[in-house]
Amino acid sequence: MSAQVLSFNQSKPKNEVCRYLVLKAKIDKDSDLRFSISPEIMHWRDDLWIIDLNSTKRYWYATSLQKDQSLEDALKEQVSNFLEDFQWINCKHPWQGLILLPLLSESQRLYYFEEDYCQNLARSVCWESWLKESETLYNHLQKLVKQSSLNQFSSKRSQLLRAMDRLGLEEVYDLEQADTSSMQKRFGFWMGKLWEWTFPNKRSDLPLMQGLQDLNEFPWTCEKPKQVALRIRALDYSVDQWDQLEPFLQEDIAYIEKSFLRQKKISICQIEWSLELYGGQSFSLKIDFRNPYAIFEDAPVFNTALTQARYQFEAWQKSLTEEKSFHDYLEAYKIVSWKLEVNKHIYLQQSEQSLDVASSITNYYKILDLENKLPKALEHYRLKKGFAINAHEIKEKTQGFFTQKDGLWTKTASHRPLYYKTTQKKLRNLPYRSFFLERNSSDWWKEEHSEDYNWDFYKSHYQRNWHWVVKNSFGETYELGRFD
Amino acid sequence: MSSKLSFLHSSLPENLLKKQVAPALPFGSGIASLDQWLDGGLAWGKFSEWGMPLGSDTRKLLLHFLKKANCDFLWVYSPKMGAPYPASWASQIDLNRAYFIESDRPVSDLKSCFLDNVFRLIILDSPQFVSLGDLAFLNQQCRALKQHYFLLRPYYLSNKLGNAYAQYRINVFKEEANGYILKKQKGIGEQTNLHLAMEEVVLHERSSSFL
Repeated sequence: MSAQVLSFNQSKPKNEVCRYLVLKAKIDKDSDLRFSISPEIMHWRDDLWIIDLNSTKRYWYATSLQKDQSLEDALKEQVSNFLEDFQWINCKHPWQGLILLPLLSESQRLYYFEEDYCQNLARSVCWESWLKESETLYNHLQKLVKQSSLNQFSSKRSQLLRAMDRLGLEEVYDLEQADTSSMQKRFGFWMGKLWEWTFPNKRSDLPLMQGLQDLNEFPWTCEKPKQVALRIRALDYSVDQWDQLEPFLQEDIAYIEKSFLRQKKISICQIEWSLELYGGQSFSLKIDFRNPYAIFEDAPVFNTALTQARYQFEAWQKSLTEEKSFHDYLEAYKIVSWKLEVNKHIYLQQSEQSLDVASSITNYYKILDLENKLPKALEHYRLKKGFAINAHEIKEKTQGFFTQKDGLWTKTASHRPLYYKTTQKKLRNLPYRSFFLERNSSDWWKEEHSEDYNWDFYKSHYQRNWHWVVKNSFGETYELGRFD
Repeated sequence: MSSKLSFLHSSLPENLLKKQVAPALPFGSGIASLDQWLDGGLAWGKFSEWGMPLGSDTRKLLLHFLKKANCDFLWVYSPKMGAPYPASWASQIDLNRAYFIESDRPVSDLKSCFLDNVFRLIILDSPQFVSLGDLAFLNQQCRALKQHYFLLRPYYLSNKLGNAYAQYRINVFKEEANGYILKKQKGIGEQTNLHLAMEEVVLHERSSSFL
């Protein structure tokens, strides 16, 4: 069954902050201020920068709540602290921002690739403009991929330009409907990738969490801080137990915090812990923090850092015991030295938390902090502004979440189960004891929905349980979830 | 206060002084007959155990308590449950207050959650591994941090295997047409059974809907 039956119904809000920011500004290449918004920043060329918001978006969301402003305003305020003149665009893939940014005029205004204005501009992008950044792309690719895979990069690019000229197609969007695989077949792998980056495939909206588009072989090289915060330790005796190494690790974290981070109030996002073993092997463990970790506030115990380090250490030990024999493990897999290095950090100009801030907002910060101590991330859902019962039935709600009464929506949603199954099970027929709940109809007048346009939802009782069942226009029945 | 008494007051250890603060009022569901049956509601600093087999369609009853408590809560669900379907939750509670995490060993995996009162309500939905030691730990933590934990079991509770730590042990049954039937295995109150008419629940849902 395709995910279409379970199309859970989020329309696409046009100014939702997406993962990447492409920024045009003069920034000192050695300055710590580069890491003011996110630890993941890439220098594209000259004054063009790409920022990945993935690891800090939730922090900025909390900040925006605290200051009672939008996420966009919170980001703008932070950027304005260290830059006077800048242009920027928010997009799902960096390439989208790179092709559109030269066409934007207004400085400081955050443009969204998906907003109508930008989409109209994008429609006027000609093939030369679309390929303008391909030179820089080629330079970046040279550092990361084998030369053999780039052999035909330039020739295919010229071939594409010639073909479009011959066909009389001036703008890139003239071919909007073209398939990535067709482009790839005719103009090579990398031209196909450029196409896919510009027009990403439509993905299923399952699960309901906002789908983050991956880089899809875009040559990402993260900027490194100029001053490297690291500590090397050679142990007097080899160790393989967490209890033995924890005090030394705590000492090293304290050293790094005191020497490099405390004065500048730098929060960290990732520590690399490189282990040297008695047998001569070396392993690298990445201690990741889901949200910026204000390590100077956790001194002198560093509970969060040690907890995350322990999770990584235990996972690594588990993988070792699975791979190696017990004898090998005892002999060669003891740690003799390590290097601890802060890989990703963020320079946050901490604003003083006012006492007037509502407790729910300060609690949000506490939750972000707690999340850093957990083995997995917390799931937190929110419904977007354009949420509707059905992807094809978009009801725009203009102010915040559900400010308008919507009887139909509440009625249907309250008759759905609290959990759904990620894989749907096909049933032979509709169970005998079934109660009709609702009918969803798709855009039957559109060709792609013309046959399977009605989905009937039922609450069915079988195998002593209440299940959530759907029957499509072809009479096929699927189990979607269970009423727990 | 006389000078002697004030001296006595100032010489009391800090932990004794704290105990003079009135205990937090219990929180209810907002459904009058249910709250009355629970002697005013569920107490902070305690935990309750609920017999709610999977597929019995009874968990939505608990959402009334979460809505009424109006605080951030953590719902820990077992991998066998599937994935939370936010639309359904949003029809009854404020999603901004709801946090979810998947775990079958909540006490050992998510210890940090129980060491701080970031979440005043924690719901452990059908965990596979909860030992007696874990129950003692949960009891101690919720008492110390003035939280309330719901422990939902995927089977009906029996008196043969008791739980000394739980304030309430309740089995919940649902009859499609008639409503909920709650049977108290342990807890305060004279009545052991409660028949909660569906009309009353629906009426309360409609009156308290935040949508």
